[in-house]
Amino acid sequence: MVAEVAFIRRHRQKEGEAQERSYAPGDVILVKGGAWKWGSLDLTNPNWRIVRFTRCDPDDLGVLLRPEVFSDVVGGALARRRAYRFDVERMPAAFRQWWEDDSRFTPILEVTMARAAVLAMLVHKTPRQGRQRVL
Amino acid sequence: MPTIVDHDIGGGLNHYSDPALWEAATDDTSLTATDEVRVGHLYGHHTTVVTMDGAATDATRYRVLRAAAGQGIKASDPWRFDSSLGAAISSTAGYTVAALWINEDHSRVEGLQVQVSGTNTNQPYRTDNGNLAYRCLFSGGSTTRSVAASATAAGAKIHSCVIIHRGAGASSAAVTLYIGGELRNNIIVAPADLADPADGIFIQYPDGTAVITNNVVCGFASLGSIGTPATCSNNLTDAGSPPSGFSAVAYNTTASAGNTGFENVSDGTHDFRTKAGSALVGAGTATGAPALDLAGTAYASPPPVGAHEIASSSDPTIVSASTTTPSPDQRVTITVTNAGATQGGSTLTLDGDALQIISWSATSITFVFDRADHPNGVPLDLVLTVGGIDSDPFELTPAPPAGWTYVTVASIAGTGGLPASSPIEVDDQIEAEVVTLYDDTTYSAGGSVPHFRFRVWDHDGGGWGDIGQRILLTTTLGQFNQQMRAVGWF
Repeated sequence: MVAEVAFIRRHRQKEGEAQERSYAPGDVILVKGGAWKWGSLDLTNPNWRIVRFTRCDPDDLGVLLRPEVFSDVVGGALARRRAYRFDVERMPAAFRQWWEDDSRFTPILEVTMARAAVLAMLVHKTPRQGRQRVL
Repeated sequence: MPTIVDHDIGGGLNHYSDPALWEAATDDTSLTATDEVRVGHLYGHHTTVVTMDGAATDATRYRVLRAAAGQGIKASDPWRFDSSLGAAISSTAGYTVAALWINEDHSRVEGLQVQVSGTNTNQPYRTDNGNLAYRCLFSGGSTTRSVAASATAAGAKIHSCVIIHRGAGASSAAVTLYIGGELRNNIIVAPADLADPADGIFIQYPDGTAVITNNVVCGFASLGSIGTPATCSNNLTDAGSPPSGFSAVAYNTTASAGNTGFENVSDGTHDFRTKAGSALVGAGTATGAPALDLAGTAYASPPPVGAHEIASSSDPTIVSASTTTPSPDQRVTITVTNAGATQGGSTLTLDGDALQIISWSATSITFVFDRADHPNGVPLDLVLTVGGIDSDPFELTPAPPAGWTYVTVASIAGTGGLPASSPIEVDDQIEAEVVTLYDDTTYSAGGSVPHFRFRVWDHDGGGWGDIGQRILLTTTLGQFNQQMRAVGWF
């Protein structure tokens, strides 16, 4: 039971709708099992972080990949790239210190926290206003 | 001219391991400032949905997600979704809209297979701008959603694609266009043994700007609703009462006039290549036709209806090779037809690059396999070109020479007092040798990992050289079939 997760540490600033439909800090790009072969630029991108959760299954964290979708447009329309984010601020200090290190000297951090503790860090973002939201 | 920025995605030695990561990295507002086209070359099968959105684009600055060389469907492959055949995206997720969803304008996808299996409400391909899908195969089983759709913006283009609607009795059309758009040289079908889905093509708000040419649309209860397109000609369908621009054809595997002559039209074993003699062959119009069919073969003039140009019997062909898993610098002999007695102006290329020829005859060619910088296990396309006519690609898969273990440089970390590490190309071929075993207490998730010594092929110097860098290695140990990572000085 291992899940490896690629997080957004920071993302290029955009404006308006483009910002809403792009990534935000704490968003997840990818969730994979423990044997995933990361690419060379996956492991060195200073704006990303990769964490190996040793007590979580990829299915546990799959919710982090869900977009927020407006359903009142025919076929649905993208409201927000990710409906959930990971609350980094609630992680231990050592984690946050690694999170701040843009050198990515340790390209993948292993986290042994209990599954329930990890899942407690998932935050459902406040839905965008004005349209119906479905997940 | 815009700068082309290429990245490899997936397949072992790569820049990004998944198209979603490439998309996130290239989601860049600076596209319009730096005049760049970002091209992602996809290897292998990926199961995370891909949403392309957020990049500021224009007609000369955009993103392209395409099958890497050798990763597209070939004329020799069955034309149905098969993730083992190359670059593919599939999804079973029901929480989003599409396995491949493009919102930004001017983007394009090329050579990909995309599937949503099962009957969930997800769809394989969705574009919400006037983007181009070229030489792709889309397959979906939803009973309520189209296989390929543009639902909120005008002008979507689908060229040389195979679109397979496997939703039995579906209420949805195989293809939905919002306003206008172009459907050129597509095979739009539902397997013949399934209950007919409702429509082949549905234009939500027809405004008289659509272009519909050289398509075959079969297996539906109705052709659909297309209004009065600006151009509609040379299309074939088995639907009753076809509109102007469509002619009747029988939907079957019979290779003769009046019949579609597909290889297989059953749901379980479908294969929508066209047989020689089919009514589709040469029945299209050259006006506005795309350049290449699904497999990358240039269309004749006139082109076929559909997305399959059948090679002529006089075209060059690569029949077999002395090895299909050559090692760097190995000599390979291929058996060919119609190559000509001498090379003259003919060429033999590997992923577009000319090869060093040792000998050439009408039936046999020997060359040097000189692709030391290409990842092992990732196939390359060998193409014989005679008189301007290309053979179908023949796949060669690089392999290490016997007696050596190869490892993959997955990352280079040169900080923290270590030397700068920029000189090493991540695509370099690494020659490695297991020395001993020890416990990797610095990095690995646990267990023992081999201690490697290795050297890197220096492309500029043309020889093996030391690295002298701190790097991260990733490899798969075949003996144990598990992934290994190690960090250290080498």
